Amino acid sequence: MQAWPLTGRAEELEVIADVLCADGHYAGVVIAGAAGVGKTRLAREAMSLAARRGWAVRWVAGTIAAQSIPLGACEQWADRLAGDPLQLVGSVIAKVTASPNGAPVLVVVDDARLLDNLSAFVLHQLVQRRAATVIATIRTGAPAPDAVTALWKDGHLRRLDLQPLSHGESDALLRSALGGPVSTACAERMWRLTRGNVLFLHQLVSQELHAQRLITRDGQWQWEGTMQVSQSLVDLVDLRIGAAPEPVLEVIDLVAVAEPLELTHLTALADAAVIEDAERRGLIAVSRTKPNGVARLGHPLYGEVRLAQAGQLRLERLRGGIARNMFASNTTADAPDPVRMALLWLQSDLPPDHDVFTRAAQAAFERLDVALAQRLAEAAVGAGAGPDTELLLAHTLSVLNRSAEADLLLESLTDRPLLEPVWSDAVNLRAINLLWPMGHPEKSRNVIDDALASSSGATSHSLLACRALQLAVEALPADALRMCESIDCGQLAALPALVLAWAQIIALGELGHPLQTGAIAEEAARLAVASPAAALQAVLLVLYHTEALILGGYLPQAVAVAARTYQQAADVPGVAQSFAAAISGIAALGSGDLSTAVAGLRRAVSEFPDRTDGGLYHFGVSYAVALAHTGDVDAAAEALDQMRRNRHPGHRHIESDSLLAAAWVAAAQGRTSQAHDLAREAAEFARTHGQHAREVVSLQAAIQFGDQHTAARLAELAELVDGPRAGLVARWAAALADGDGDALLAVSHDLEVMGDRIAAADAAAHASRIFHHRNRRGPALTASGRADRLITDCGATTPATQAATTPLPLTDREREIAILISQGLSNIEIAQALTLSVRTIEGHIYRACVRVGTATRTELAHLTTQFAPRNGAS
Amino acid sequence: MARDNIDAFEAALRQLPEAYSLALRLKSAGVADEVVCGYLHIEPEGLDTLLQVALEKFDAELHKR
Repeated sequence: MQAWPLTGRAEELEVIADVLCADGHYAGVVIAGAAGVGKTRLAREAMSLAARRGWAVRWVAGTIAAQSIPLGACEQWADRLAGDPLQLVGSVIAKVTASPNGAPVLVVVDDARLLDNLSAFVLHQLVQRRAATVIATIRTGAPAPDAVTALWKDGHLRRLDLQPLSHGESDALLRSALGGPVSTACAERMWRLTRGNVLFLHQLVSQELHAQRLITRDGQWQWEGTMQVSQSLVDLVDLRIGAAPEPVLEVIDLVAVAEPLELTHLTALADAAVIEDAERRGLIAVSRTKPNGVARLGHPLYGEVRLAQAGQLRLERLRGGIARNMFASNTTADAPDPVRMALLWLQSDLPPDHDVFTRAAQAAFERLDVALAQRLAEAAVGAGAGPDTELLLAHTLSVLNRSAEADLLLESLTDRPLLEPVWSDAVNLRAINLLWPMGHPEKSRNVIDDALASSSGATSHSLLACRALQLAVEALPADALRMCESIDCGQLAALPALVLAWAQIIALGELGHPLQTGAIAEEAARLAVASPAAALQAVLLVLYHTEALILGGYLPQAVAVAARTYQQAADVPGVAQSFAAAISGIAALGSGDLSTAVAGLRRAVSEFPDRTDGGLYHFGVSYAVALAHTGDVDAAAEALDQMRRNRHPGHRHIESDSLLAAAWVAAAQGRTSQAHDLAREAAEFARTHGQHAREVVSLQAAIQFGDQHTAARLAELAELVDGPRAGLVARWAAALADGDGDALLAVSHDLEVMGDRIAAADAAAHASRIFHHRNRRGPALTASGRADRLITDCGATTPATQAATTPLPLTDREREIAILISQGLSNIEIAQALTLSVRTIEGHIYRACVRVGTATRTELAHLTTQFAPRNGAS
Repeated sequence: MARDNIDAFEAALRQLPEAYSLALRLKSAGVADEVVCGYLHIEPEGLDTLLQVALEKFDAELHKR
């Protein structure tokens, strides 16, 4: 029987055509419906229409067999799947969207629920970027990858729920398919059984034609006989397939276990005449997308029915045959995908082969499917693979948050006399696994110390790179840098070289040499192309490069670096995107772009909540600061609590940042004195650890909280620390100490040019207060207006700008106490919060009341709230 | 509304696939969207398009008469 015509779908096609023609809201259509309702047929028709109108069209199909292979569905666009993992998805997208003369591209994705995760990610990216128009089909009621479900849940694709045909449409289809009138009794009986399900109708007609019960008589098609037909589509499909001879069934099963199956493999395992018979029966379909063509199932239900019935031994035998045939063709130019071959092998009757599994594990890791890489590496090790594969297995376990298992494996590896660089890689990986995922910095140090005691030459240089990183994150940047300088970089492999770069960037940033980090970061990015492990590390390394630039005051550069990374990570599924969001958030925070900062950092602290490597702590610090700046006191306090719960011993170098987060949250709560004390504590930590650039930032915060005694130290630091920030903050401190409003205003301008708009607002606020005290009303108003503009632009609130915009004649201490009263604190609670005596608090309240002319503390609180609506009491 | 019209509408509705006629009947009876989706076993994101298709099919049926 010929392919059936499309009937009763004019309105549905119009919906699809509308989406394709409109430059609009939707990036495509998802056709949802029950099995057999005609989703694929409708999608094919839409694709043909688009092709006739000049669109470049692509067809992708999800299959059960390819579901567990990363990029299995998109294999046709991944000529050479190995390579830079960060570029992998991008290169597939580029190939999918390349079209002659810029023709619009339509990608049809059949059975999108069966896409592997990486192909689903590609689809999601195509849609999100509007890089192509997409028509996807999904079977209702069946689970689909999140990336696919999000396509219509997030409003990217218009959802078209395809319904069975009406009675009239079904009759029309039957007439059209049979090529003549159909008796009323026949049509009625067909309708009662199939209820508008096109596949059901097709199967039934095919079966009854074959059985010669559907015949023409008196110029009409009649359905004769009393045969009981199954009420279920699946049963009918089963019945129809079951009627095929055994060799044809074997062909269907071969295709089902490895769909899409290259004809070269199929013809090696089955007789050509039998394959043709299966095709003629519509049980398989052959397409020429590859040089030698591929076979697919006639309908996904055929595979589901057969796989559900086939015995395990039969399936293992079939997979074994295909895998063996693939292996035999491994040396040809058209080599099989190692992951696909290994997955078939793994579930076959073939004896385990560690080479096959190891190659596949490496390929899966390169495609960033770490869970699959772990499974394959474990199989390879079980089959006798050597230490290289054990190292890969340990790496995957560490990335998958199974750090204790990774440690056991790495301990056993490092106890063995292995060749280099495997042994030093194992030691380094163990040390890093102990440092971050396990949170045991002392054990991490001991591992390196013990290893160094028995090493020399290139081995010891690799180990020293890790030692330098340990020193850097222990907040000992000078020691770390000295260690880095003692290492012969020429002797390092990619991974230790990256570890060394990491240590250098942290140390240089903290010591105050941010510009030196750029070249190191570029070299690290080049190294990252070498391996997937390095690629992921390289994204995180950008975090420290960005932070170094922020510390130095190179804020536009920090934003540019973060933006580049964010763009790059958009092509990388998983944790890399979370890192990139955090980096963007941190860069935005440095520039006072609070909405971007909060969004990026919220994502970073929400995704992957089970991570134990300290990322949640590191990003949580900045998240708390960002929220505190917005004045969302409750959210900031909650973020601070969460950050403290996630505190991680492997990130001691950000201790001053952690203290500053607490300081900014205290400031948002109106506890400016406490904020100041915490900022001073942060500065002291940074000073005692030689973190000069962090000390500058901490002292800057102290100034923002009202400290007027930082000028001398900042003048010293300005000599040590490169970049615009240190000099500007030193000028700010000096101007405050001198009470020089004009100088403060100049500092404010320069801070704005530098990009730190919140600090610029605070410096203007300081200028305003000084002008005000000196009765220079014009400059005071100008400075106050500037502070207000800057702080409003950022959507921020700070103690300094609040004080400048609150025309109450109160001292800083009196204002702070008045704000705390307005938050409902008792005098005892205020005394505790500010570590002062109750009597002192009462004295401040009395003097404040006298100054503003109120009789009670309640009136004082009310007045404060009126004049400072954005403070912590809001 | 004229009796003829009502009869024509009803006849057109009866010619539609069951889900479309049910959707139109429920909507015209003022039934809430989530209840309509529940009856039709569809997700809320698909309701607007389903109603659009239903109305177009309904119009097409009417114009056949």
